[in-house]
Amino acid sequence: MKLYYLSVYILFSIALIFPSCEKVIDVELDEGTSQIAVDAFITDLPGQQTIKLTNSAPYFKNSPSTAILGAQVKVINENTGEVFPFTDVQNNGNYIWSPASSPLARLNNAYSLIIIYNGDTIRSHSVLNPVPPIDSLTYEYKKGITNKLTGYFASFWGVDIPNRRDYYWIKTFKNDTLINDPVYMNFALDAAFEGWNADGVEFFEFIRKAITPFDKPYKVNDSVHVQLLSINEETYHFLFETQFQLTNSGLFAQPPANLPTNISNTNKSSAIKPVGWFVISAISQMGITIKK
Amino acid sequence: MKKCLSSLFLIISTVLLNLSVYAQEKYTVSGYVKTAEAGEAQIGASIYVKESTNGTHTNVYGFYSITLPRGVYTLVASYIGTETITKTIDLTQNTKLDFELTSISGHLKEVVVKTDRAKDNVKNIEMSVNKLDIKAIRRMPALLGEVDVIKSIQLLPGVATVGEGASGFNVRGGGIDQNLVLLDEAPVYNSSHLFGFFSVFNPDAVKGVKLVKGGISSQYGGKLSSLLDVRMKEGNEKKFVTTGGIGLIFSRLAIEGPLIKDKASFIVAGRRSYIDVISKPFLKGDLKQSQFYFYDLTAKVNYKLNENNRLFLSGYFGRDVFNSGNIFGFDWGNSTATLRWNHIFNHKLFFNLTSFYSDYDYRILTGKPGVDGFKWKSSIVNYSVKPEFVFYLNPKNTIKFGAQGIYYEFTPGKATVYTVGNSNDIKLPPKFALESGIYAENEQKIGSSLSLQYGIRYSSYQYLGKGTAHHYTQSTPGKRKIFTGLQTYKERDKIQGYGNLEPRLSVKYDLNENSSIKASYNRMAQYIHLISNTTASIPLDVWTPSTNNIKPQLADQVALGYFRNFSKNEKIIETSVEVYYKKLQNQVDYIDGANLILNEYLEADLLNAKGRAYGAEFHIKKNYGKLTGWVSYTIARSERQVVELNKGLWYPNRFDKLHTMNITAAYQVNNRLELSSNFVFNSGTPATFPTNRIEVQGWIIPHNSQERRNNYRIPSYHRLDVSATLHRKQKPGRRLEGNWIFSLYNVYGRKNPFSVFFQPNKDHPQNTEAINYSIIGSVVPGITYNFKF
Repeated sequence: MKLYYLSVYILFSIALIFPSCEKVIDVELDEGTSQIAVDAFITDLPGQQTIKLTNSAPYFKNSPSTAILGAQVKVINENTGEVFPFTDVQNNGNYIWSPASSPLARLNNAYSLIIIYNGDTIRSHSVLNPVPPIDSLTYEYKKGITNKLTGYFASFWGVDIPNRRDYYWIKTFKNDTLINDPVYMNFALDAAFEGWNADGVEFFEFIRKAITPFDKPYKVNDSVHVQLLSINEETYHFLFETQFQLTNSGLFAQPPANLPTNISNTNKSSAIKPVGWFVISAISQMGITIKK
Repeated sequence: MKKCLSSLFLIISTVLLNLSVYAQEKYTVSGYVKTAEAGEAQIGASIYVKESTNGTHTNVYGFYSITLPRGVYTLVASYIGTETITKTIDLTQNTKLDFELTSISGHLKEVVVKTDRAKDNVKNIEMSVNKLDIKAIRRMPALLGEVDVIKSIQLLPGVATVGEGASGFNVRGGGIDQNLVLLDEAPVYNSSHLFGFFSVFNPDAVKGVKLVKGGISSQYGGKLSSLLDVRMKEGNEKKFVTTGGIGLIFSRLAIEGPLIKDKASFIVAGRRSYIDVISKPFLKGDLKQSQFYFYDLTAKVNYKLNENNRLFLSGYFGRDVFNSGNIFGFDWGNSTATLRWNHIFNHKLFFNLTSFYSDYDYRILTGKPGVDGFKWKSSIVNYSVKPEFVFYLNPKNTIKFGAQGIYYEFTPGKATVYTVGNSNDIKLPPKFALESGIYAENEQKIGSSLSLQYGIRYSSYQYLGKGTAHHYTQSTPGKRKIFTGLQTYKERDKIQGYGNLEPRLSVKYDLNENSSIKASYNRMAQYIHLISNTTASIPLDVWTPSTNNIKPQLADQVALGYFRNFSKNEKIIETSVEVYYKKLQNQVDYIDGANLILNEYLEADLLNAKGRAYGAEFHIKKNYGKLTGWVSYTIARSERQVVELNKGLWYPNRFDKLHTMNITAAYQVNNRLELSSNFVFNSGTPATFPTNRIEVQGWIIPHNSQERRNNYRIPSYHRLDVSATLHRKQKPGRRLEGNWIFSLYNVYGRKNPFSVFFQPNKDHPQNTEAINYSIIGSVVPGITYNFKF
């Protein structure tokens, strides 16, 4: 259930009556301890794959995170035993694997992420799940309340893979730029949400339509490119929580909480406590350009 | 259970024994005290016997009974703001004696209280109690000029809220679901309209409210923290009266009058907001068909069958509707119906039988039903029967005993979802439960200065089939519990049972004519829980019964108070200081990332918490003269401990506020003009702030490396409200009374924080900032016209 949209709607209604407001304030925060942040979202797309390792920074640091250098990073296909090394070519914390002979991603295979840093071994695990094709992309012109809300609303069409629990993340690129504002994050369990028993059917309207930012419809000549990624249950919850924590404000906010992580240090007594996420996804994609 | 029954019998037999001892040459005078204007029951009026030091108060139906030795007596009946009535009787047999009290013409004169009633603060055994007459509530400045019951009790000591616009209220560190909110004995599950901006109680139909924060009588049970007893008017017995008002948000209309002379009267009161009507011309496209409004209808009929039998039928029906044409629809509301029968067995034994029905439900619709979208419904329905006896044994002992049974039906969620014409039903199984209680209590006066109220309540609870008991693994920090299996039960089978013995005790000792010390202890048990993880409760929050996994909540509270009146020429200033300590068990908390909606395995996401709350409350109140009002100050803590959260350490509750100060004052300038104001100061509420930021997939995610909860406080809250009430000129023979209320809420336009949250700057996403979010960020003016004819 996307409570977020509900609360946006409700707050919008209240705003008609009461002048609520937001202002930036100064807050002194405790200094926490820096942790390794792992950003390992691997796909089956041809070409390079990147794993980013950074240090978590004090919240108000206001500059890019510092890179973790000198780590050994590899992904292992547990089914075949193949090892795919990721190397920090440019010495900037971006550990890259470039395809040589055999592809990294094989459907339904299990993968381990192994990072060796300062003598500690940091591990994670993910399975490459299948993804159905995107059947088509469509769009329609709609007049909104204001000009800003008037424009082209696009939808993607596809059918969830039947007889299994599937988790998807739908990423949309507008004019080749990823729409990355967490407000518009779009993910699905089968063709809908948790608890909806939506197995093997056409993606639900909320999912189909969510490739258009609800308050920023497309204009003529915009290109819309949609990627449907297979993920897993843990990643679905991770994305859900990420969206929640990054949009958690207002009257109906919940207690902020740290995001879950699926990355752990095998040396439990070590001071190095990793955070972040590892997942390997299959992708199907389609693009379209909006015409009059 | 057996133990409890035997103690109940013990009390009753003591009573009967006493009865035979005292029943010589004594007679009882009993009757009703009513208002002279409307013939309505005067709750809590004082009846004082001049020749002895004895006195009593009328109960919620206006009934009183005093037993005295044969003789001639002068009885004095009085109530705040009324003339005192004195009647002399020659008591040679059991006698019926009714009183009618006339108001000291309302707002026009100084309210001078000359009676014993004014000493109630000191003399009454009740402690931790605040009573507000609807007249007093009307005198306070209100948001947008709309008088509001819940908003006014938030100005009382020991009462807090998480912030503006949040529904419900927190009493002495308890959750909003721990208040027993009764409208004419029927529970109201969501007391808010428009989230928390207005309450569901229509002031035109309300007679008065009583908030009990501690020393709760064994007559009441089922909620841990407080009892908010809202009593509706019975309807004017003497003449037809129409009252109403026109405001910025809504309009009100109430009609009351006699149905059958001296036998039956009624009141019907309704309200509807009209934001949608006003905003219609400004909306375009799909939103043209938008509806957002709320309404409520409150009605009551009472019928006097004869001297000893009276029936009351009251009902409430209200809904909030948000409907944006064909995109989205959301509505919720309560309905309650209560039937009560008052029966006087004899001069000493008063009986009331209450039966009620209460329902809270909400619905959500989106998209095009039948094609794409979903509809969803959830509800809690309950039915109850409650027989209660009050036995006026003698002037020294008043015994109450009775029972209650409540049957609950929970429908956590029933939804139909559609995608391109295919539909799918999602249904969480309904849940059933039976809660019952029996109680006995005696209010006893010992000598001239000691009073006791001691009682016991035994509550029992059954989680019933048809249903399933889910089994889970033990919880581990940071993880949901794992489902291990379920067991199915047939209709009416007991899935899980609980029972609790709830002792209650209050003691009052008079130090002298003007001061007393009071102490109380109560244990309360609560069997149904509001599942809510948001800062302010939302109408989507689901009530859930205790199950094999969710244990009943328990609270033990002790309170001690010193009450002192300062009087000069019968002008009294009431003061009190109370301290309390409360221990709470089996509080409901949630894992991080809990999924509370449409989740069949909800229990896997719940955690068991311990709680504690303690504080001191100071209250000064002036009821006489041109300037009336009160000052209250509370210093308090409310904390909880959950093994799986905050590293297992105690942390402050979301509504914990160290300091709370409220000042409310009204000043009568002349016959036509009255000025009033509120000033509110609260410490900031706790919040969880991050220490670090993490970058993943281009998102800048706040992170607390210490894993602490509520480790900071948002800035403090303060607000001043003022209002002016201008009455229409009174002329002889003119029936229409009217007044204008002009109000300013948040006079100095402070941007009071509701919460502080953290986000990347919209223009420079690398820069993160803290945002102070205010629900109301400026001064809010209001104007209302009220009329009566």
